Amino acid sequence: MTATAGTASPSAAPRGALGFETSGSTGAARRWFRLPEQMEREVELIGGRLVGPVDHVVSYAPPRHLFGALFGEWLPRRAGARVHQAWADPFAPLPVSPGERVLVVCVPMAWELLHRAWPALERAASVVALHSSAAPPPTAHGLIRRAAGRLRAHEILGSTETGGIAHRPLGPEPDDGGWQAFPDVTLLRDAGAPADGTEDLVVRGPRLARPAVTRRPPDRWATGDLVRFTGPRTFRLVGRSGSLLKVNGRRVHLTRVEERLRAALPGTECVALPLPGDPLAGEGYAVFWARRGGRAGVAEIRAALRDFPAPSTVVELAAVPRTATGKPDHRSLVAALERLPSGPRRTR
Amino acid sequence: MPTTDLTQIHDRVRTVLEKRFGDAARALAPDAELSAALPGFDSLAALEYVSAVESEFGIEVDFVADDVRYWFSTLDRTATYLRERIEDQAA
Repeated sequence: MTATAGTASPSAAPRGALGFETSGSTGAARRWFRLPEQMEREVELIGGRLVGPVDHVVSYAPPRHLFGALFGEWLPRRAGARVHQAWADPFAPLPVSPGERVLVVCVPMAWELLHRAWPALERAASVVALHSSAAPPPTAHGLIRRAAGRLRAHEILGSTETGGIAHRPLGPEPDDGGWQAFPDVTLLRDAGAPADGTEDLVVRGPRLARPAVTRRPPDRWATGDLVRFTGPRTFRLVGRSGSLLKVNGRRVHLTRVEERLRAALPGTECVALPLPGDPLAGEGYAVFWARRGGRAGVAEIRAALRDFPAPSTVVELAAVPRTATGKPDHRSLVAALERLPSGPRRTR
Repeated sequence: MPTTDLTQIHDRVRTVLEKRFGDAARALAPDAELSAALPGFDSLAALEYVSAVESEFGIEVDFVADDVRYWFSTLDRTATYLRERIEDQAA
């Protein structure tokens, strides 16, 4: 799930409600309330559907975030499972006992640790990983390959505002596979959707959070994701509505740009961001990249994007800055852009 | 051969931190505890820091054998750790 969250809510909260905050890394910070029955329902739904029986939960997601609260606190409490809050000391060895059924709650950084800790996890009777908050890194697929069937992993699409919306299996290879909506989520279709089938992902359901500034949860929530429906309750993510640009008259989904780079340049971490609008140059985008063992350079990045309108600028970083939940930190990236000697370059 | 000059190692580590923490890292005292001196340097940021240092110096840190929490807690300690690793590799 995609946002950071706070601790217990102030007096404006409904009785027993938990307060979470979206971080504001891509917009203004806001506060949301979630009821205990919503937490229970989500844990029951996802736990029953994707996880199964569990003896031990290893959580890399801090519980101040919804994802960490749900699966690092509420699920183990309900299941009577012991918990290792690995996010608090990620360098500590994993205390996994032979024969245990283990759930690992993953944010992107967790996969590197799991890769190193796999000999300890191998002792478990079963290992299930739930991943959320941002795209899984190549290490995730690498570990699933290495585990050769002994690790079952699922990716969850959701947010602080919506809770879990949909899920898909995480496999040994990067895959733009379709998402399956959870059964209590209603996908609201747009009868006037454009001919290419791209629609805004708008959901309704009993697990929508209540904004602190209103008296009740919204009737529906527009997630900001663009999707293409593949069935009544299945879809593919096309991008974020804010990531759809028109560069030199051609539509560009920045999500597609990132997918292309991930596929073409394994070992290189890339993030594409729209540039601030320029009345003369029009819309454009920047690619931020960091070597993570890969040998690619700017030339390889530009070559990989030869079928796309070219990025206005390509910025190398030591590492892509990320929020605590592992998402690219857009504010830091924009700041890095502004620190360039020439500012956000427009090279078209 | 990679440099074992502590000042140069220091500078490269600081650059790694600057990419994430900007001005706060530029002003960082070499012996300051990173978790206290850098806003947002929590446990997961520490993990990212270790990964970024691994990438910068082309090494793999052993989370079991090395005392990661100690060696990666200040700029000075990180640089000392890295110099030893570089010297080991060169030996």
